[in-house]
Amino acid sequence: MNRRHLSLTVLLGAGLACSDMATPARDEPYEWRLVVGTDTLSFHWPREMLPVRVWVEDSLDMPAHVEHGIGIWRDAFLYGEYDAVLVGDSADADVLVRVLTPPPKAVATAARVLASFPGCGGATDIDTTTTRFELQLPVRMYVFPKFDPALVDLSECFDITATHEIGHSLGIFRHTGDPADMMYSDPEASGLSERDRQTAEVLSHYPPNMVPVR
Amino acid sequence: MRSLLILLLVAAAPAAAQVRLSARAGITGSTAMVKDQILEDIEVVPALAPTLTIGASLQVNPKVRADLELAYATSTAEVEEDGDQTGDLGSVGTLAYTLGLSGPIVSRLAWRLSLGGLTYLPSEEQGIFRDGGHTTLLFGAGLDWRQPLSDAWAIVAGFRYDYHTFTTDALDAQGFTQSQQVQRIGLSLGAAWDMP
Repeated sequence: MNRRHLSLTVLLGAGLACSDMATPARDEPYEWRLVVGTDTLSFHWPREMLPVRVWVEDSLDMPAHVEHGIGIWRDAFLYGEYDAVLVGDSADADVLVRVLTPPPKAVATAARVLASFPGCGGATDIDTTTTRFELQLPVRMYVFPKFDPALVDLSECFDITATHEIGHSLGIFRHTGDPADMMYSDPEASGLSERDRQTAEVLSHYPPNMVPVR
Repeated sequence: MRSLLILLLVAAAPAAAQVRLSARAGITGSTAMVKDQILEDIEVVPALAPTLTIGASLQVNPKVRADLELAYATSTAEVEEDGDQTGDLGSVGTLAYTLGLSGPIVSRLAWRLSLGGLTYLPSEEQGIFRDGGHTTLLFGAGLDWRQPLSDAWAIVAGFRYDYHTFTTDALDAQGFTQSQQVQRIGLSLGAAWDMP
């Protein structure tokens, strides 16, 4: 074997000797499931329903804030587990986003997760009341200003609120106790923490015991 | 790469009359690009990819030809969980550009060894491709069978094996270390034309 052949063989051998990609160490996810009575309910959007259709009230530039939140969550996933698009007709939507203070719940027993921010607030209603193992669509979300938006720039607040509420709509039905998490009850973080991302990954592969229904 | 091509062309200049052009169509199969585990085993595997290959080769000595080959393949990047396809990441093209040497084994059968590059061209920036594709070194080997039809034309069939490593910026950002070894096999059929 001449030197050229030897070099090629060594090069190929070195390549073949490389070990495979190493899966990263992942932290434990935080609790995302909804407890109703004695039931612990888990949900993620079925693949066949992606992209999730989101209707957003066209007020205070909210469609842009919701798109911002969708993009942040979409980028948290490596394998296309979540995607959403804005739709123009609320009748076709899986998720409705209103720009108003949450009204009395459409179904009194629906779970409501509320978040509070310095300048604005948000809420998501999760209606599981039919059988507890069905998620009634559309999921209803609310984002609202606490001050006159003409006087105070609430853009960042709306971005964070919309991202937080989108987190609820994709299946994180609980708040965390860590202010670094987007899903903290009064979030301050503008992006996802590693725990947010890993929880979203895990819940999207965890067998759901809720199915979406209309 | 460009320097090597120039060297090959210069070396082959006296035999310029022996330039051979070829075009082939076929399919390429690949092993998994990514292996992961989130509660269950996850793999991203390209589906069988229709492939178009064009090449030009030069006789550099009586027993060896040097060639440049471009192969474009496109297919869906399928996501499999515990062996079942659960989704996809859209279509992903691969462009392989290799310089090779080939020579006869028996009368119509020839070997080929190659070295070059491979670029992944995702159609959508999402998932593992959210920060773009990937370019890597490509090592290849193959066999070509050539059936002359006339002085200038021949039918050619090719078998290709190649090896590369895969990762993306998105995988790096999420803590994946090292790269996934990927092996591909391709079969193709086409025509070759010896320039006068």
